[in-house]
Amino acid sequence: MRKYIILFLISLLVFSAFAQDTNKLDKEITPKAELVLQDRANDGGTGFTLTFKPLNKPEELKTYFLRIYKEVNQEEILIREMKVDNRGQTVKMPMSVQKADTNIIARAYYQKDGEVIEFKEQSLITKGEWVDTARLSAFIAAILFISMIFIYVKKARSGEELFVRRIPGLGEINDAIGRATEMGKPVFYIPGTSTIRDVATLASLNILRSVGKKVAEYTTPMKVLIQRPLVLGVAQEVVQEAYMSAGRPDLYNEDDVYLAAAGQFAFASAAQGAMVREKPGAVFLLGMFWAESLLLAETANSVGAIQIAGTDATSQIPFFIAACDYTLIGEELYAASAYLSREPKLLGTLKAQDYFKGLLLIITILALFLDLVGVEIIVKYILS
Amino acid sequence: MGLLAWTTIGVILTLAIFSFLIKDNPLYKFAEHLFVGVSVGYLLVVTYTQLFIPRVYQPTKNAFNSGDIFMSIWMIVGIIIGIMFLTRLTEKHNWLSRYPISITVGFYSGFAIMPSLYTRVLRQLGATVSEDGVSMINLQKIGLFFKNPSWSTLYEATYGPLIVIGVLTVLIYFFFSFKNTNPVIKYTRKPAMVYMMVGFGAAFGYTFMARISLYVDRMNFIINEWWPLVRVKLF
Amino acid sequence: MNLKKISEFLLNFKKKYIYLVMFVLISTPLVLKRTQKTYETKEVKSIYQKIEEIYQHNQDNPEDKLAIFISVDFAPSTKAECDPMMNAMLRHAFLRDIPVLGWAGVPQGIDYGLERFNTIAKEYNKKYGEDYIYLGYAYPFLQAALSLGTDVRIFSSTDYYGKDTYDNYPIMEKFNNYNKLGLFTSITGTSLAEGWIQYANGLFNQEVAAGVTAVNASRLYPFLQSGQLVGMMGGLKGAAEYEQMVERLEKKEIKKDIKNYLSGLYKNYEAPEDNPRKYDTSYTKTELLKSINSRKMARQGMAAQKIAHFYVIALIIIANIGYLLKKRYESRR
Repeated sequence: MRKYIILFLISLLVFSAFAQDTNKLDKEITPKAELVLQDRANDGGTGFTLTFKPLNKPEELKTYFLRIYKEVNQEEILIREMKVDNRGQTVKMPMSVQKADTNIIARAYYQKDGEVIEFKEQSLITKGEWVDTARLSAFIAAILFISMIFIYVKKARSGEELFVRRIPGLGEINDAIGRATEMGKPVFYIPGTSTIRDVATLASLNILRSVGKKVAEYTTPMKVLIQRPLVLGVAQEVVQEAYMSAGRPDLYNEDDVYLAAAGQFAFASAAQGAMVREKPGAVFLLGMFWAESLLLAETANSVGAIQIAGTDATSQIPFFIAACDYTLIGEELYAASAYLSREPKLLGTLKAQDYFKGLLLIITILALFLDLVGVEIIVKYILS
Repeated sequence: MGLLAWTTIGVILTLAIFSFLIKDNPLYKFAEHLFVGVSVGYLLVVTYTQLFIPRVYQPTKNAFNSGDIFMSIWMIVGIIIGIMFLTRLTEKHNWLSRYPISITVGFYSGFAIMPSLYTRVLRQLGATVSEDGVSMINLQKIGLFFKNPSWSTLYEATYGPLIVIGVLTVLIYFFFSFKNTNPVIKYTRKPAMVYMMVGFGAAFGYTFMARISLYVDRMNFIINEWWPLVRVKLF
Repeated sequence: MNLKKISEFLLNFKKKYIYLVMFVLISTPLVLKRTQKTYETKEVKSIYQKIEEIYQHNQDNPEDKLAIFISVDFAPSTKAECDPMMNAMLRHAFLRDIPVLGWAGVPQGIDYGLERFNTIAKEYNKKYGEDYIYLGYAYPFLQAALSLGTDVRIFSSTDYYGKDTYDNYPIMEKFNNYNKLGLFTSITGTSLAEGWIQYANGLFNQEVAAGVTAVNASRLYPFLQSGQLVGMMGGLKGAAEYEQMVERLEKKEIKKDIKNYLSGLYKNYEAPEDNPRKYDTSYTKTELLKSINSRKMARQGMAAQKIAHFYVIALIIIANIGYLLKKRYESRR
């Protein structure tokens, strides 16, 4: 009896082994996956995204392989090869090629009996767009702003009166010159330490013209200290013109507009030395400055001069505010320059800036109110 | 020995520059001129190895080697336009330099318009209206403060409105087309000044920290980098 | 009470004594090797967390790793604040096996940046060309920023060492545009960080972080608030915070004393003839000392910084008291 039971158990084992084999033969794995190639929107035609979603269960098929090719002169060149572990998660990969209109071919493989077999293929030709629609709002804003500049510059050139309010600092400039005249001391003017291409330097030279005219009328001596050679030439011409327009060309001395030194701190030392020796009654620090700003302002303060400063360098404005009697902050420097010179380009751009700023203010306030009630249209389509 | 030697030279030059605090002296002048000379020499080498070779020579060579005729011609045209810059040095032919200057200035100015507007204007105004999809003037947060007053709920409730008011008043401050007597200009002037002064004060404090950091670094260099090396090597 | 005498005394401290006291106050914590533990702010934590996210992504997707790009946009003149930031960030990336690409945005930073990259890579046994690469000078800036939109090898056709980036470096084959960068960091003492925000983030939606000197930090807060910057390390304080976080991570990962770790790193390593590493695979006593000290540079500086700040606050209060007393004296007269 025992013999038969053992025989029966052995045969059961043998049959179950066979059964496994049979199962294996019956259940052939069919690899399934979603393979999508998408051209990237709003680019120059070099970007695409590959999305791969395994549809087999992880126990069924543990690993897939992906190969991405680009076609160059009808030849397929492999650009990427990778193994994807099946975790049931979608894999999204942004990629790039070097040229637009490239034919991309993506192939998915699976492994069977040591062999890698292809089961899916997708292809795509990358395309570039002429217009980046995601940045359309910025483009429209740029066109609008540029148009406004053209319109207002044209208006200014045609002689139309464009109102610019008086900058409070301008009154201080006249007071400072008056004070220096009363004390019988010279006026020092430093038009920044930047190049002639800097907007702040150009704005400062415009203000120099009206300051020069005033000092010529009051017959107050003025010294202009320069760091850059190109600025020197322009400054000399500006001062000479100013003196001529005041009817006092005889007062102009070329040596009063001079190159103090070329290096940053060498200039600061030279300017400090000049201030200590000549003890000016008023010092104008208008233009672009860097670390030498506080050195100049402090020295001018120590010799008892009244100081008017103005710069668009946000890192130096705090120093000027702390050390000087009056400071033109940022755009006030440009506005003062436009107000005094009445140059059509300056005036026109200032007005255009103002109106564009006003438009943006209105849009922002509108967006705030709409956002409060849950309407995000402005934020979504214009401001972001 | 190399590391110690170079560090010691660094210390000597540091002290030479600091000697300017006493007065201008030959040691300071020597250090300053050495710095200027080394900078110029270094820039010359860098221009050749880091600019000319990877940006001009190597891409041109690659273009020719790969047989890409269009790219090769494009590189040659670029090189010729670049060489035209150098005609500024001659009096007779300096008119030629206007072409590359116009191309460079035109491209850079034009290209910068849209990214500047987008990054510095529109995105910033968007952040003034809402942050992470939540409105800056958040009535819920204000209500939460009244329900549960604390420093953190006060901060959450006021943070947004303070930023909005600050942006609007400061923008109006720099609006030059209304008269000084205009009520909008008149009544926003003081709040705008307060905001700007607080901002400048913060910038001033930060700048002060930066200046002290520079000095601290030099002292750290002498005390904690150079001196331990001396002790290890010599004692 | 003689208001005049008191106000004159308070307002007329001689400058040389003020500088002398400043010198003593700053030197003392440095001589005593004090470090300052600092609280960690949200803006610095965001950068740390972003790199941890990249690490996690790389762990989950070993075939689709992300790298980080560090732009060395500072000159040695601002190394006081920028150097600890860059060191900490490099250490973080190398600890987490994140590939690092780098270049310099200013000419004076080229060799300095390379030296730091190689020095920090040495501490973690990283190979040039596989784990990190240095592409030299990124000039002109705009072309550098745009080239990363497609393939940076168009712009940097050679690396710093003059070798072709197309053929020689595995890291360049995998990581050559913004798609493969998890984070772009500009470490700068100039306004270059704003340029990267404008072009890399503005045009390509690349995540950008900034490590800036304190002078420029206040200018970048608007970008932080609008989400255009992932995070920002501002000045020596920001550097100290990041340094602190990385030190905690290093202690957790390395589990050894740093000196022992560095001394034993290349003990059994024999450099092959064509050594691909850009550094000597051994530590001298002085190099070991320098490596260890560089891990707490910012925090040592903050200890001195704290005292200097208190000192200046005291001076400001004294000067204001003197000024008020002077005003009172003059009004009485």
